[in-house]
Amino acid sequence: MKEIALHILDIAENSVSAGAANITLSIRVDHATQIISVWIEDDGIGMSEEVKHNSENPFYTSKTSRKVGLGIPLLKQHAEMTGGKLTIDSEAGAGTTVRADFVANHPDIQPLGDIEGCWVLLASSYPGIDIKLKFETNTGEYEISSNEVMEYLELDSLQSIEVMDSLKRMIRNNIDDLSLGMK
Amino acid sequence: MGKIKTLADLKKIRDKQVSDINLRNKGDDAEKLVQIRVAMATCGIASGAKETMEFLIYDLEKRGVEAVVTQTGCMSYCYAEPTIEVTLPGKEPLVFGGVDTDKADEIIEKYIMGGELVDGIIPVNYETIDSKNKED
Repeated sequence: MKEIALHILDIAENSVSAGAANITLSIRVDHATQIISVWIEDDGIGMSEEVKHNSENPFYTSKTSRKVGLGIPLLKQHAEMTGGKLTIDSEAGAGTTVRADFVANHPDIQPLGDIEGCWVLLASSYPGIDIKLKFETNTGEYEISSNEVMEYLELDSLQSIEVMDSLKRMIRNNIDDLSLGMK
Repeated sequence: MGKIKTLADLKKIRDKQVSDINLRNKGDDAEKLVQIRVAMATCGIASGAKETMEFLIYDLEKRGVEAVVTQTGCMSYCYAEPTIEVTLPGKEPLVFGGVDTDKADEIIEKYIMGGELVDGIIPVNYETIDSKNKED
């Protein structure tokens, strides 16, 4: 993984497999503390205490098709490389929240990357799931929900070049404005 | 064109388009469409499945191929990521491995549009002569 956005996409795929109806991707860039926090929150099937504990082990997976499960361990490694940490909050039947904190001014931090592209890809792939994106800085916050977008534009699917491109531009403009305000 | 910042801006631009894009409910007649599933697990994403998927959506639409591109989990060909499964209408699904954007372009042009087989097929659902004879 070369970008934090790809980690978010990866963990969000786990939420889809967990049968979530709502997935919220949140990013908070705190200029004062230099901490970038990322959470992926879902209302899927959740994890038992044992699975939760094992999920940080790269040699554990819930799948039978292969013997490794690297999604969470890689995110944990990248967060810890910057002096940050990974926390998982989950209960069987009560959804999961994976949170990673990165130290923004550490040389090993990856760029945030194509956040809007990851959201648009998820939103256009899973029209049955409400996928929210929240971006927050010290100057304000921006939020978008895939269900609201589809309702507002009266579309059943977002999978078209025109819609995907304009959504990406819209989100990027808002994220840039929030990030600029911080300097 | 002004800067798009809200959904209202986005809608205004859309309403202006004379030829509105054809966004039907693709689920209704999915069997008549080309269906592509892109493996988007950790292995796929780390190998560039996001770019592959974006390329497929954009390129298929540009070439006017009616298709649904969706995601799936790990298909357990982690060594061959990015992996995609292509189902042409009325045909058996075919799995391709090592699909970067160049390969995706070749698959669209030769296999999807031309019906010609290309390198990189992972034999997943092959039939042996024995298994075929048993069925008969």
